[in-house]
Amino acid sequence: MTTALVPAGGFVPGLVRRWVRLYCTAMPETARAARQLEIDSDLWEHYSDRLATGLSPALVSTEVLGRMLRGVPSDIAWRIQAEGFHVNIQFPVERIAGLFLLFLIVPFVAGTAISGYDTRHEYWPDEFRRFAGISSHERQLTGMLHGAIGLLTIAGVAILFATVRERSPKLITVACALLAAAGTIMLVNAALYRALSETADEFLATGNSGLASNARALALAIEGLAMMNVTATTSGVLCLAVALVRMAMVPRWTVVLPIAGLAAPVLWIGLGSAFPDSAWWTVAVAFVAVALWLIISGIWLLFGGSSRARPLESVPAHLT
Amino acid sequence: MRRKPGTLVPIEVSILAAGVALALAGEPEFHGYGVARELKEREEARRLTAHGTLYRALGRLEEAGLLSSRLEAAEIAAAEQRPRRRLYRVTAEGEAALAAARAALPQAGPLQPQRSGV
Repeated sequence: MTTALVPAGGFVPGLVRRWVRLYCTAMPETARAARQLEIDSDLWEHYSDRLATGLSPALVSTEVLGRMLRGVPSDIAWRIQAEGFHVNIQFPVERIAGLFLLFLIVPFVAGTAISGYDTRHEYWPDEFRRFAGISSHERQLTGMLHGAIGLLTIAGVAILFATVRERSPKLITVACALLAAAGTIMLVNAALYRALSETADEFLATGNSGLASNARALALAIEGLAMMNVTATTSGVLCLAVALVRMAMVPRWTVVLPIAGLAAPVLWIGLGSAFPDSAWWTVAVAFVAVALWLIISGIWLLFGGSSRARPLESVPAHLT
Repeated sequence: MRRKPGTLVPIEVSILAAGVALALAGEPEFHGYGVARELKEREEARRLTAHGTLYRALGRLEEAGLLSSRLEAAEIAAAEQRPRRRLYRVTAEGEAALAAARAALPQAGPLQPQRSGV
């Protein structure tokens, strides 16, 4: 289409054409071709007109580049208006949900694991001294890992929400809110763990026994938040399980597992004071039940969920 | 872009005014770069209208029926060894809309629309 008079192979015309191709991606062929042809013609006319006035090619290229850059916001607005925000992309909904469930095992394990100390130890200062004996680097790494997993959980929840929300809006919204809360709790716990770690360093350096008391308060807060994390995760997973069963994406019987997982911490909250050593068992039961559900449902969705999924009337065409 | 239905933004007024002026000068049809150059000269602007601003405005005007367009014959472009031009023409509705826009802006002269900005 272009000729020798047009610097078709130049950097700036090439850049303009690449930009047009980029913002016209996934547009109907006729609209895309029309815009490309129009810009191609504009480039040719611009160069031939300005070069004829004696302007150097470099200066003309600068003008063209300026026109492209100043027009970027309008190009983007035009592209959005041309097709709206709903770009027709075929989301593999079941696969994304399956991957998310399998990933969720990681924050669930990390959330239930409290590394390096036991608040029920008979003499806390000794236990805290043992905790302080763990290398500072290792403690910081644990805190950072928890923080990163918290962030990844929130990001994963956002993707899941955007992917399956329209299939069961209420349940998915509640599930995602609870799972996002679990991710946020992990972030808070990561910060508290870091504070505990720094207190341990100071305790080791000064031997100040007052620091051990403060540390115990921090450790108990972390433990309490970890229990809240387990509760939020299991509640979120239960909502998710019900939503997936309603959408016929996973077998109906699987919902028993998250119910058992949620019942354990709820019972612990109600009756835990009567059974002082029951916390570990609570966490273990919740963990096993929820982890089993995550594994079973995740694999189910990842390797065969879509063929069994029931089409819903409420599912928008671009998601089916 | 939020605006009252039927009203024109400055770049649209400028394009219509330039199109009418070109028609009066014996060029009833114009292409994208041609109108950008015309706008620059008429408004004594420092720079040519940006690609995105220009073609988005041309699209809006055509959608509103104020401009019509056609792709020039391939043979003409081939003979001149250049890409085919999309040629625009101001419609009767476009002339009426321009007159209405000018009436709403009494300070603007018959061929001096307000500055188009970008």
